[in-house]
Amino acid sequence: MPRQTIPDLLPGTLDLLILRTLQTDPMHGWAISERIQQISQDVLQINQGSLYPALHRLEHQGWIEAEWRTSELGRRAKYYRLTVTGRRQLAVEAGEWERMSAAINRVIKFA
Amino acid sequence: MTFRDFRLRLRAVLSPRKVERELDDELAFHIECETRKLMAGGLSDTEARWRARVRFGPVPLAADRCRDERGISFFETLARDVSFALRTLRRTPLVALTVVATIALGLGVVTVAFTFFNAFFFQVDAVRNPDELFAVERLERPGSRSEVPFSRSEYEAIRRDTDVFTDVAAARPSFPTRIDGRAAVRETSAHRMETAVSI
Repeated sequence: MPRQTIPDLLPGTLDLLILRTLQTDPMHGWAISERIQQISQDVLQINQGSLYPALHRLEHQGWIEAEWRTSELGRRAKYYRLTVTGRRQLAVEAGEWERMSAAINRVIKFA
Repeated sequence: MTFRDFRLRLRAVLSPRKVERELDDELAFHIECETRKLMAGGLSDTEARWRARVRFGPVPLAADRCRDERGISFFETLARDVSFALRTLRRTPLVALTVVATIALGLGVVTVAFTFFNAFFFQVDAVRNPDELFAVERLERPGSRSEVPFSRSEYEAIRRDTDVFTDVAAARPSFPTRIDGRAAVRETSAHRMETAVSI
């Protein structure tokens, strides 16, 4: 299956994937993109040039917050964590996505 | 704008160098991670670094888009525009002088005009203690609503013979007059103020 660069998929999808990835643990940008790629079994490959603007946007919206910590490489890295409002937003966006993909599936199957 | 958003913007405005350095560090850290991963896969240091950079795409572009999200590029753009305007003006001093003189003259005229306007139209009938003002009216008959105006000689008589009021002023009927004071602002129509007086 060819690799997809995410923002081209559907607008807003990247935000949803980032929020979902951060649901359990704080992560830095690279780990987020690796995680998405792994979980999607290499189907989704994040466009790196879009990842960081998206992270900064989400941070400004108050859905994630950043903290500088020493990483596994021994260098300081910016770790992002889901905020309470971010958790709420994730629930909303995940619900929207469910609705949308179910609708598209129905059209593909039955139209 | 959320509080968090405001705090981040404020930080970007107050310590721009720190925020810029953090942005550079963040993006560099990503490329470093990617390089290590590729090296772990068997690539040489140079090859791995090169591939990591290619995969990331142009770093300045990504940094610029992050700055756009920050939303303070407005100030930077403004600063650049102002300095450009100043340079342009310096190059053509005569034009600059004409512009400055025109604006100065215009502002001066407006200020003078407003000062007069203010004095004649906004400050009319300003009294210090509107609550000490009394309207003296004469009704046609007890309980009636229509008033009988005082004549000039009657007004003069009230003014001369009273020891209750400090002064008396007459007003013509049916000109709504605004009375401003220190404590209270009251609108009254002048014919109720036929003989307005202040104790």
